[in-house]
Amino acid sequence: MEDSINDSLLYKFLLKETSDAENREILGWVSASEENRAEFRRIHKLFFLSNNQQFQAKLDIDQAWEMVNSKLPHTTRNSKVVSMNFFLKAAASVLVLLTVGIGSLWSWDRFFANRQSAMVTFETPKGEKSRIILADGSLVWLNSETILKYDALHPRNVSVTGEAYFDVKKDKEHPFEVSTASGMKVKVTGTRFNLKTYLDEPGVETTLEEGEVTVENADDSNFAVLKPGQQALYDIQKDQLTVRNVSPEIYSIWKNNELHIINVPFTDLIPRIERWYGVSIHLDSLINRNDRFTMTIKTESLRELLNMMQLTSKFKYEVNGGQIKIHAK
Amino acid sequence: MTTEPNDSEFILLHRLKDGDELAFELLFRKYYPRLCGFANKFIANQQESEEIIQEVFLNIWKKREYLKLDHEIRPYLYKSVQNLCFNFIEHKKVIESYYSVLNLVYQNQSEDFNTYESVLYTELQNRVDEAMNSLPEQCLKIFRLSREEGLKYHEIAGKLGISVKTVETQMGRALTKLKIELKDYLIVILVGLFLK
Repeated sequence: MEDSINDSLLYKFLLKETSDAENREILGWVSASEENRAEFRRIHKLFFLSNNQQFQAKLDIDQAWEMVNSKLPHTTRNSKVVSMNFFLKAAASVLVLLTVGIGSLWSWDRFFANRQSAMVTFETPKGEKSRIILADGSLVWLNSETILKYDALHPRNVSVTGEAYFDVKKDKEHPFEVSTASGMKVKVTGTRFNLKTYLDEPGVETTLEEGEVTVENADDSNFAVLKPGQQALYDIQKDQLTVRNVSPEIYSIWKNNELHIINVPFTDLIPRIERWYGVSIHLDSLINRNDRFTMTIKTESLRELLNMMQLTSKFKYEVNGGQIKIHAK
Repeated sequence: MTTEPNDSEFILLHRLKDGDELAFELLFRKYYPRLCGFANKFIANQQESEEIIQEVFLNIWKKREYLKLDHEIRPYLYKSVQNLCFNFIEHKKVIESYYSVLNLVYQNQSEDFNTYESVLYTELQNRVDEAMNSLPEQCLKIFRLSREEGLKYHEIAGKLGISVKTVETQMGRALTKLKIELKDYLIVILVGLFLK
């Protein structure tokens, strides 16, 4: 068996690096038998698999969509929706945009099968994020493992478990209300805020970026009115709320497709990475906290990122589930 | 509350037939990367592969009213991409020997695209990734420079201060290792192909 010779040559060929003489050799080899062609197809499959994910990750889908969209013969939208009843109209205006991930992440609970039920549910699987537009025009970003539900009759009353960032359409007449499994609610008229309420966490975290929100108890009693840059932490067990000042943009960092780090020192980088990957990081006191980093994170895993950082900073790390320890080397 | 991919795709397809651009965009975003990957397997040129996929989607939009789509658009997409790829190869085979070899190898062959989306396939992809990560350091480094950064053999040789022949041998070694590690999977995939 001259496998290794053939392997090198075939691989070189698939990379389009072979000389004319080598190409003739390969052409002769595949012409010789169906067995050889089958072997070629097997090797080709491996060649393809060994780089397919990286290849896909490098594609710029937004740009590709722009290209295709610019070539579409845009027609004026016909208003078929008008003749439908309210339920269908509401459903038709629920626009879903997938921004990250390829999985299917939404379902309309028996919505079309049974119009008595008007519950609309959006669900993002683990490791994926999505952006949706609600019937009232409000934008919502959903982080990994988040469920958002609402009744199509009351599109400005939603419930959330997980983490969501809201950009609520202004409408003074109809306040927008988000309820959580803990009973705590957030009431707004028009604003941008981040809400984190995973079921396995002991509290609910509301971070206001712009506008004003009221955080309420289950019995509608007021807890606090937040100003931009304030964060309310609700301790479910103690039924207690504390408010503190934060940099709100860090808390909604997860909703971006890319995380840009430009000349950021180690200490400021840690909270950003924690929010991006949903982990908690313990930084050893011996670490040189003034090491600065510049990078763009897109689809890189946490390990890939840490390995990349090790190129310019001396440290070791240990990953233990969602807990990361960073030690000086 | 579980999501049923086919149900949501079923709704999307109906909205597409009604001329809903958003439904079209959703399908585009969902399938674009994997279809590009699939096309690039044959075309070995990112730009040409992307153009093929964009053409497939533009055709779908033009013919949306006449599409016979019941529950799934996937087989239709892969079939269309494969046809365009094979046409491309057919045209180029005289000019580039790369394509004349591919033409010969895939003549009268139909790729079983169902395997590209199956659980087994994901498993295979994971095994490939594992096998790649267990390659010797030098071998992995060369492989990454070639496949991920797109460097030519002579560029890699220059960068690492080794001979082109060494680069060639190391790349071959990577492939041999994959072949050995994944022997069982490849057989299963091929058997699956005959059962279809």
